[in-house]
Amino acid sequence: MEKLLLEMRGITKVFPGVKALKDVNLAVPQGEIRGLIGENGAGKSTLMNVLMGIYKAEQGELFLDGEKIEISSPAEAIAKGIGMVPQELNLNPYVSVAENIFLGNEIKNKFGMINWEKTKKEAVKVMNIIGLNIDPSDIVYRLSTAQQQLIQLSRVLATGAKLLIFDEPTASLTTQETEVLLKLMKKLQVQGKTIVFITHHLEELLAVTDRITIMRDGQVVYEDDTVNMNESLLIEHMAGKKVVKTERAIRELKPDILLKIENFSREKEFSEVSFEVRKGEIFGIGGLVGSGRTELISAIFGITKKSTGQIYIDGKEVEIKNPTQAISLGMGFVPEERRNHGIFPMLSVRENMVISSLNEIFNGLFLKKEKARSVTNSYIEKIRIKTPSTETQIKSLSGGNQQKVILARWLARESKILFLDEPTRGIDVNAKSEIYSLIHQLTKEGMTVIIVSSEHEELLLLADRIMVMHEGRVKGIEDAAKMKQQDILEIALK
Amino acid sequence: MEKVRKKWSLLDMPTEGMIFIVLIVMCVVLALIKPAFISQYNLSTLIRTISWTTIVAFGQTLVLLTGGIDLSVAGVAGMSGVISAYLMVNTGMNPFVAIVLVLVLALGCGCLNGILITKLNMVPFIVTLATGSVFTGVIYVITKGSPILGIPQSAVKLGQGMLFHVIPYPALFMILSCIVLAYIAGYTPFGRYIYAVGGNPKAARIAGIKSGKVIILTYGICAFMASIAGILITCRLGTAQPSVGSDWVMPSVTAACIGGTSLAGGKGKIIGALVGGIFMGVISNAITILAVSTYWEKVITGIVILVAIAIDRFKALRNNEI
Repeated sequence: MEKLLLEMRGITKVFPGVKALKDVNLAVPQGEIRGLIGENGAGKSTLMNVLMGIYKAEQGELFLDGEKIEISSPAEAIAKGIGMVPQELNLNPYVSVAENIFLGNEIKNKFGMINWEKTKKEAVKVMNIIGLNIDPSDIVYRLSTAQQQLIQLSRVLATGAKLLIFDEPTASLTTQETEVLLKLMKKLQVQGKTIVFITHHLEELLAVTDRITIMRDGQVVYEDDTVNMNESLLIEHMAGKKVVKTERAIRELKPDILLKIENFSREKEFSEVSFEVRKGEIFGIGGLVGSGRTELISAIFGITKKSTGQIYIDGKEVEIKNPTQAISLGMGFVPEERRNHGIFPMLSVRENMVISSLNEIFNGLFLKKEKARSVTNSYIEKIRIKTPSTETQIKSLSGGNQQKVILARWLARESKILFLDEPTRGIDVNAKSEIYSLIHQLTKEGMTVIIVSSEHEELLLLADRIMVMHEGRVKGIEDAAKMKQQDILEIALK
Repeated sequence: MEKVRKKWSLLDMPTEGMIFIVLIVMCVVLALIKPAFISQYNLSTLIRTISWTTIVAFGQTLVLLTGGIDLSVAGVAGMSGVISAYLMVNTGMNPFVAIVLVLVLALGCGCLNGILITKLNMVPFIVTLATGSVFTGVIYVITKGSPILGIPQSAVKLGQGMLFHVIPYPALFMILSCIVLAYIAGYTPFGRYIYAVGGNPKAARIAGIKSGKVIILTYGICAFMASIAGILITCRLGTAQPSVGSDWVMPSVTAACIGGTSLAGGKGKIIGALVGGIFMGVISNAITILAVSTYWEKVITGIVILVAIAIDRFKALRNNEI
């Protein structure tokens, strides 16, 4: 048997309320390129973060080169020869290539000062390994994304890493750049490096890896040599065989088109997106993280500027340059990052709820606090928000209740079209099902909902139709009733 | 829903309330050991001295609430004093017309700060540092460094006069502007938008708040308040000193902070600035009447700020706000 470089045994990691990793085993032989794949939230990144010492696992053991090790910080991981090329670049854009490569690993002279001459020379040596031909004195922000990615890789190589983790390195690269990177991985393998490659791109995995590990719901569900794998097999195991499909009534929708989006594009985010949403419909948008879903609805709502595209409401073309205009056209937006983009943590439940309708409760002289309070109370009752009072600071509420307050913000404004971005992220199971039934109830009362979710079960459960996006493009729009869970992945990836 | 009854604790009080209690205690102790403290003369002087920086602090509080800072208040105050004096003395303009003109000019200067910050996406600290320098420069261009003498009596009354021979007019302006601004901050949509924009700018945008307009107007109001203070002290002195207001920037921030306003934005009250301003004035006054070396004043003020903010942080920690 080949010599194992890395072995992770029985890794279990619990986040408050969720078991992110359940007894995960991963063994990677010396010199292998291992593919790691799974849906969003399957636990790939968590597992790698445990390996890098960013998270501490509750249970489990790590072995490197057959030796049991403990890693409690990224610095320790690096010292032991493990390096990660992260998904998001973390270079300092305003300093030189050479300084970036040796960041945290500076070459000093005997007085403890940085030896710039040697730093540059060594930087060139490291870059030569991967055939990168850049002046080490160049300032990083002037370089292309692909070049920056390679500098990130150079940094990892400069630490002398023998195990390299690539976390979705091709997400922001063009096809040609991706090919270069894949060839590079093969080259590094020949030089004796061991690689763990995380990606959503099946063809890349099948092209470059020796063996593939598939994760789902915090567990390794399948593992085999790449020669025995194909795309359908991968998708089947990523999605799981169990098809969760709760019974739901097939709803009769009027044929009137309420919202029509035509030819929407925004540079580097999404392009030529067109779709129609009927009155009272729940329109789901699915796809993997980074497919441009959030970016799309942000641009529709006027949070960001579109490059091209038209919006029609009730058949009439409308102009939306900022959220204020969107709101006056009857739209509402519940953002993905509740804490950062949704709530005003220091304000009360009441103020958070009425913030978008202050002009309606202002009598020209005073804000009618009593009216605000009664409006707030009516929604607290109607959608069952658990809060001690209308005056409680919103930050002391649970995630699910905060989310309901933000929903109520738009109900109080009598919005007609509601955009929900990952409405149940970080919310416990009970609150989730409450929010589901709330959404259903709202559409019965005439609300039209556009929902973005990474949880495919959620889309299948809620939506009338699902639009699947991948890399900023629409890959298909289907009736949810006819779809199975793996269809979403299949449409996205094929 | 189950309500947990917490033991009442001093730490549950808002910061400005705690400072207010300390202030009262301080005043009582001072009155007991130095009866001169509560003489009408001392109190009138004290409250007038407090007025200038506190009026500036009201505007500063609003700016701090948006998460910004206005370092140009000194320049605006000085420029307002000098230009209004110039108009009254050198052009013979009716003093009240001159004052209104200057207030409008100041409002414009403040809005300019806001426009630079929002439209060009520049950092408030640098923008107001730079415009403050420009405004201060204008003072010296106009005066060439020498004071403008001979302010008309009708204007001097504004600064020196007293209502019922007890309350100095500047103090009256302070109280009035406190009421007006507290009303704006607490009871109008614009005021609540200030809190929202400062508390979470991204959420404010998604909630449909026109953050740009809110911020521009807030800087406008801040400059307007600084201008009132600058004009009042010019009237009080009867001459326009080029150096007027030059040391008001930090005290205006300090008064707001002692009164519980957070430099991070979104948290604070106008009334807090009043309490903070009076608090600082009383400390300074105490040092004088207790005949302590005035060199200690800054040391003591500094320590008070540190203690006030430490208590604030401690409260936040205790309530799991961090």
